[in-house]
Amino acid sequence: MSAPLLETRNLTKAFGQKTGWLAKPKILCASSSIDLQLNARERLGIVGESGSGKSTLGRLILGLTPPTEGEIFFEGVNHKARSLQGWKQFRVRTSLVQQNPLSALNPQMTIGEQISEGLLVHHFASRAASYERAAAMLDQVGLSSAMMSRYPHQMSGGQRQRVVIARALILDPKLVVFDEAVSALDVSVQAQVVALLRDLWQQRDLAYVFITHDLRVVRHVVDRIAVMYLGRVVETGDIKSVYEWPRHPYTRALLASVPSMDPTIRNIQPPINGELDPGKIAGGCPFRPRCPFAIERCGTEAPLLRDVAGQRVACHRAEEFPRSVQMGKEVA
Amino acid sequence: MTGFILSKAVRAFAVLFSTALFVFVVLRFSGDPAERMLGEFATPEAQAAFRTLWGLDKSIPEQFLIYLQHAIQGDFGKSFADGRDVFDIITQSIPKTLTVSVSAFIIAILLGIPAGIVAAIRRDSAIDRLVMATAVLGHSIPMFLVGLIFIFIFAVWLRVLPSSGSSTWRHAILPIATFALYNAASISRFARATLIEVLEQPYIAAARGDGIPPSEIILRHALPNAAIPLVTMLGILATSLLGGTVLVETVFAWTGIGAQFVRAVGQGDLNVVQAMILVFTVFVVMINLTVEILYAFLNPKIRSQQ
Amino acid sequence: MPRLLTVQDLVVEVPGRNIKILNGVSFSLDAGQTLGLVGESGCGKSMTCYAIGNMLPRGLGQAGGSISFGSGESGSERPTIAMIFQDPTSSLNPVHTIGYYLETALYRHQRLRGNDARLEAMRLLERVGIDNAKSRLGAYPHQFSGGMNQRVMIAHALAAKPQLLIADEPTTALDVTMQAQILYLLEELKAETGMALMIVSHDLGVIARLADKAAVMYCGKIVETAPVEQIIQNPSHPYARALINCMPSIDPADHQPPVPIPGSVPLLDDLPQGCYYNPRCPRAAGECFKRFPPLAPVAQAHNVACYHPVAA
Repeated sequence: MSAPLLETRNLTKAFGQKTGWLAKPKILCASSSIDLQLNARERLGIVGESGSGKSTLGRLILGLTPPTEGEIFFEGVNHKARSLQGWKQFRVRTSLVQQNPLSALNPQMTIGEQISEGLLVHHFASRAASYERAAAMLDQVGLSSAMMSRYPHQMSGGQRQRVVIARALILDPKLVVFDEAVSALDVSVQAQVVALLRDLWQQRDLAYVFITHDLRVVRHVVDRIAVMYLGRVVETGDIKSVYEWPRHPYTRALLASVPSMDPTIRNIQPPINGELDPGKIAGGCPFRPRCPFAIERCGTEAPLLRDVAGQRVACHRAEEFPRSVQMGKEVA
Repeated sequence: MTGFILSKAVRAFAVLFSTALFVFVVLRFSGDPAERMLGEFATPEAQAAFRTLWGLDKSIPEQFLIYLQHAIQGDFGKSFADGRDVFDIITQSIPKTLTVSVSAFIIAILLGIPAGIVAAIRRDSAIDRLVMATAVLGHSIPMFLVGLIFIFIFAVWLRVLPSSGSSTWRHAILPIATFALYNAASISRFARATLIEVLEQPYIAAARGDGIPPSEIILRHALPNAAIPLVTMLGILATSLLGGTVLVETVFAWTGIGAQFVRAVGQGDLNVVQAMILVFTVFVVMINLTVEILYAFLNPKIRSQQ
Repeated sequence: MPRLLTVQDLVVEVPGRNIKILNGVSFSLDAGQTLGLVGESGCGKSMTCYAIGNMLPRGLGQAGGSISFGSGESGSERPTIAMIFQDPTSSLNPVHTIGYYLETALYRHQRLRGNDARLEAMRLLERVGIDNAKSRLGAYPHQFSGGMNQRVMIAHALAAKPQLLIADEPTTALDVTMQAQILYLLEELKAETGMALMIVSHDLGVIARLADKAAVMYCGKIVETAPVEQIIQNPSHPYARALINCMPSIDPADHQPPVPIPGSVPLLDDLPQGCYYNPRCPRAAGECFKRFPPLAPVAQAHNVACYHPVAA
């Protein structure tokens, strides 16, 4: 098998928080020791609560923020070894789609100008040719080429997100990071964008990382999923098998927290209480303070990712949980 | 809080020292005072004597150390032009300038803020339009023109106030009015815009939904939030007070620091220029310090970081 | 249960422009009942809440219809209404402490002051799941997470001892784990206090979890209203059905991806002739292009505004 498209080794990003004038900065980890691999055309979902470090991971992958430790390889090249030219090539072969399409678009440029801008700045096409390609791209994301001369404020939220996706794909990147790309959209528009993503992926040589807190959407757009908690990957595996048999109590809690569409399921105690608190890492398993299944060992020994029935899980008790997750039954 | 103020004070002192050094060096490279004071036809001997008299023949670091040594004792040297003590020149002209600028500033605040608040609360009403029209007018007419119009109305036409000079309090009225009008215009516009922005915040809508009476929403909920940017703006405006009076002082022949400063720069009267810039710096540093303290007091986000 | 609230033909419009944000909204709510309002952005679900809560945004006015309380006769007293919102952190005044916020509300609604107000504020904070209530009274909203601030908003609502709590997308901005906690808290508080609840959400899962009856809104109109089981399991309006099919399933056995609704929601100043949903509706024909269908019963307590409703 050939080298993966993207690989991270022992990736760690620590943020310092200054608490006083001369105080030593308090270290808050946004991600620690993350090892990921992504092959060409693979689709990876990253989920977790806000503060889990999933967005930081996306920014690290794209080289938008430097890691404190560890390495990132894209197409076999280490980020650290990239020259200015190398970064330029990297930027052509990757792109980012963020949550708020309105702020991601320049209000003073037409849609056509914004989509074709990438082609022009990298001198891939003449002005006329790049406009033609932008119009074709717009058609691929399901918008009419009449939109070319419009401005962002003249479009709906769903149309804007399509424009952002068109702009991200115009240079035919091999890797796209979607950071909460559908989270702010209405359900009907969300469904449209999900369908669009599935189509675009079919037609292209494209791998992507889909970062989201929405466990319902992610399932329909990725092949593999990584669940993050306080900067660590606690469970990763094939999307189908993780949803069928989640092995980490945090994954189980996340899935059990999603409101079901069954009106008879009511008065359900939340599977976990409180929220993620970086101040509470004390050694042992980071999830222990909130875990209903924590035992003594969890307080002394931090679980490492290990193979459990084809999934990788960081939990001492991973084998003990039953197959399906049921609302209200995930409380110890 | 004491630690906060102390750290700010240390920084203020550092700013003062580096300004003094910078100004000292720049002034000594910006032309030969001997030539400017004595005129270009003075003999080289006379110029040399002038330099020796004022210590300008020594090296710049040496001059600066001597200057610093004297300045710490309150001796800022003498004017090259008339030999008067710089300290006296400044202590005589500063109260005059402060009279105009500080009273104008206070009046501007007392006029501008309530006008802005009323305009914001009665947005798009006749009162709002009137206030804003006045503000745009007051802001867009150049200050010297406003001054001349005032002189024409009150001194020439109505003959109730003196047109220029600085001997009695009646001489101060027109300069103060001119300067206050200009500042009140910008304050009211800013206060209005800030308050309108605050009134559109979700927590104001939530307070209205709670049935809190409108007067209380303005006083308790909106104004404390609007005060934060307003204080920042007033700080910036206050730092321009000393500079802004130069124009007013010229129009009304008011012998404040502005007039002295213009003369000293023109003549290359280094000791006077140097001391006045230091006074300006102290003034600006003090205003900034006040703003920062007020800011910490008004904004819990800043306060909780201390 | 006695009737708490009746909304009849409510119209809210932008004055001077022919834009009706609410265009004849009618529904009723009994004491202790939970009504769920569902729909996409701009459908008027939040605006309905604002109209009832007496907090229509500046420049908007009630242009028709009525909101009546109790038995509906004149003289019926307005019930105590409290509201919570989508973005709790920006709905709290940044310069006031949590304690100030709760204690002033306790004075306003219960005339409590001083130590009494303080103790009651602490009790409320503890009730909504905030530990160390005493030390939290001096905290500011920016020191709290979104979930904590939503709990504070709920404590503040409880201070009013409301007969009706209006919750406008109360969990949309929160993580799914926090959402589960807040939904459970709302369920508990409803059982404890007997208050009625109006919950607005674009998430049918949230509606299914909390509501007794639900109303689906589209472009300022209610297009279907029914007991929540009916809406979720057996929707009659093509839009309600499509909305349910849009919801991505989490059931590992259900691999069907969400089915998008074609087209987009029309702009309120450019509504189609006839039924507003007709450009996107697979069942649209004839009459649909002429007049907007009236809300008519298809079953017990189940009303649909559609000429060609989906059969049960």
